Amino acid sequence: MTKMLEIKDLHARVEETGEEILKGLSLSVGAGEVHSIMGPNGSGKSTLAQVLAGRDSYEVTSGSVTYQGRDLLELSPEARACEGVFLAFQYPIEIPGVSNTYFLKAAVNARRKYRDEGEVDAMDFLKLIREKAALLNMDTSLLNRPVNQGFSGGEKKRNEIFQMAMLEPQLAILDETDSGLDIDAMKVVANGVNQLRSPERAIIVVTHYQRLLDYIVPDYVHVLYDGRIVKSGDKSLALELEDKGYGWITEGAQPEASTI
Amino acid sequence: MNALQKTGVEGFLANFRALEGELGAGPEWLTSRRREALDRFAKLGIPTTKHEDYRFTNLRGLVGTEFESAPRPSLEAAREAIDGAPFADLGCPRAVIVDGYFVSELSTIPAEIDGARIMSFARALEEMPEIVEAHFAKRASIESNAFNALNTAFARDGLVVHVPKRAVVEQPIHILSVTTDGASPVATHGRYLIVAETSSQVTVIETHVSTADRAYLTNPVTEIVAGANANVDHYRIQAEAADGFHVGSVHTWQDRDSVTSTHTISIGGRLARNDAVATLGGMAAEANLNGLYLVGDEEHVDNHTTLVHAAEGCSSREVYKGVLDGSGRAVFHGRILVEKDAQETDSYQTNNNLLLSRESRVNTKPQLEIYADQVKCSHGATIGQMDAESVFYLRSRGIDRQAAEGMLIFAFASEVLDTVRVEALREQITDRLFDWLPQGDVVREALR
Repeated sequence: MTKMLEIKDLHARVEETGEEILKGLSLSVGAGEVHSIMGPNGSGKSTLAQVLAGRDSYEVTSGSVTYQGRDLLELSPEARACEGVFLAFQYPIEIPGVSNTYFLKAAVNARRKYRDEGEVDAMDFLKLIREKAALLNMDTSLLNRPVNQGFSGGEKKRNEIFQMAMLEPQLAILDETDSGLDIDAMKVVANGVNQLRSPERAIIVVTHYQRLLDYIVPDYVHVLYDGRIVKSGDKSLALELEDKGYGWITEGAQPEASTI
Repeated sequence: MNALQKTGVEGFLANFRALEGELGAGPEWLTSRRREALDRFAKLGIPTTKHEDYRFTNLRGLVGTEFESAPRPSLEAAREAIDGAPFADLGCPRAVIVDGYFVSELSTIPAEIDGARIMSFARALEEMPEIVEAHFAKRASIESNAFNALNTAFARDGLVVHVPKRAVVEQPIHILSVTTDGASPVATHGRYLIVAETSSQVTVIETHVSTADRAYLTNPVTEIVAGANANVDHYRIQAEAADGFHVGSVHTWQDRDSVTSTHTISIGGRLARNDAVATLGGMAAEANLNGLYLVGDEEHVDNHTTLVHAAEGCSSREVYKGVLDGSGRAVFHGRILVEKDAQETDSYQTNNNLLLSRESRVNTKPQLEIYADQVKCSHGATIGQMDAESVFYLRSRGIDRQAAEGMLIFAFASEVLDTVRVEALREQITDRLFDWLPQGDVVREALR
């Protein structure tokens, strides 16, 4: 059976400086699975997330990414989004003057247009947005406020997951969504993610801290180091990392191919 | 007659001579102020780029054009000109000024609203001469500003708004200033005076537009006097036609505890030069200066602002934002003068520019002169391009590149748009912004 996402020997560098960040990364993710990618700072976690979403400041020099049988790298960021890829940003952008509601409506309609569907019905949309906001304990006043403007760190991250809930992606990538969150905010975010777990959906959780994985329990855990997956395992690997740190893996570790 | 026509200073002097009978018909004090202003204009001349305040604004095109003094248009021509002109209807009482003349047949301003007297400049000279005499050309200095001097020499119509003590004018007063099309270039010198007495409140909107296909000059001067504890909101929207020159100024003087907001919005014209001068003359007064300029290909917008803190405990907040495309050019010069006695001044100035093209260019210059020692003064200026990460964020939500960029331009401008408190006006400015954006329709759709 084809995997939802198949990354093979991916090499990517920063376009401006030419610095290579991903150095032969391979990973495959099936529908219904939750994968966690962990690793020390600077190992390439965020780069991987950004490359998958189509950020053009990174250049893929070799390797392939196949998403639902298609070459993902061929698609523009907006086409990827319309095809069901979603990235929850580590640092969400503020958009003054554009309310959360209007922004989401634009995003939802862009997707519908891509699929040759008509615009979303205003009443249906309102109903959906209220429902999803409730799911994330979002204060409805946030819906009318400009996107992320004046939001606290926790509110911004929650807003990312809220967008994800609204857009119902097939492949969701969470880039350090837990960083800087207090435990209550993190629980809300984790709960939102867990509600979206389904057999049709795959989730990649990029995180620096094991704590999140107590709440979003992954099926697989991978250690990313120096641009490659150097170790893969189940959730017990995360616990081991918690105890021992990364040293035992990264010191002189020979990268191994992902065996999942 | 072409051989007799002249350009530049000579042209305007010739125009004055031709109109002398008419312009000299007013009261003695007015005729002498006109004379003085004309002499001053002749001395100052039209500034060249050697002039510090015009270093980056070349008026060659204006100097090289032969302008006639616009004759009073027929009612038919006036009606035609405002028909379909942008910002023609804001759903509030409107004074129509066509080619510099008040057209009562097209105006919906009652002689009195909520206790305020509102009438054409010409009529005010007869009905409330004491107000006009006390304030006309008192705040708009002719000393160094040639275009103020020019306007003062020629001013014969426009609007006077007098709001007596404690009067609150609920609805905004809309001044629609239109330049008609015609065979040869014309210059108009509308004059506006707003006097808000103690504890009064008023909102005045000027929209300067045109349907002309040829060059013309709009040279409006507005003087605003805010008495103690008065609240005045003023908007000047300049949406001139492609070949229009717009050189104008707004002068505000504030007594203690008064609050003013002036907005200068430029969305058109070949060349626009706006001078906004606000003087905080009484203690604890507050001035807000907001500006937005959208500068397209072959357009030039120059904003000069001067904030004078002349009294203690006053605050000022200034936000000017510009978006430039094509070969558009913009200049921002923000001067803040804190006089010796203006202790406890709190002043904030920012100018942000977004460049959408390689050829566009901005010159921005903050200038702080502080002579008091208990002062909080800050300023900042930025010139930047579209932020790639922000564009990526929107695209990653499925929004295509052009719509994403349009939304971000809208977001950039929104800080100033949000200060526009008259809803109909804010909507029409926003609509113009959408018209102006490369993929504006997509953005308009998305944000509906």
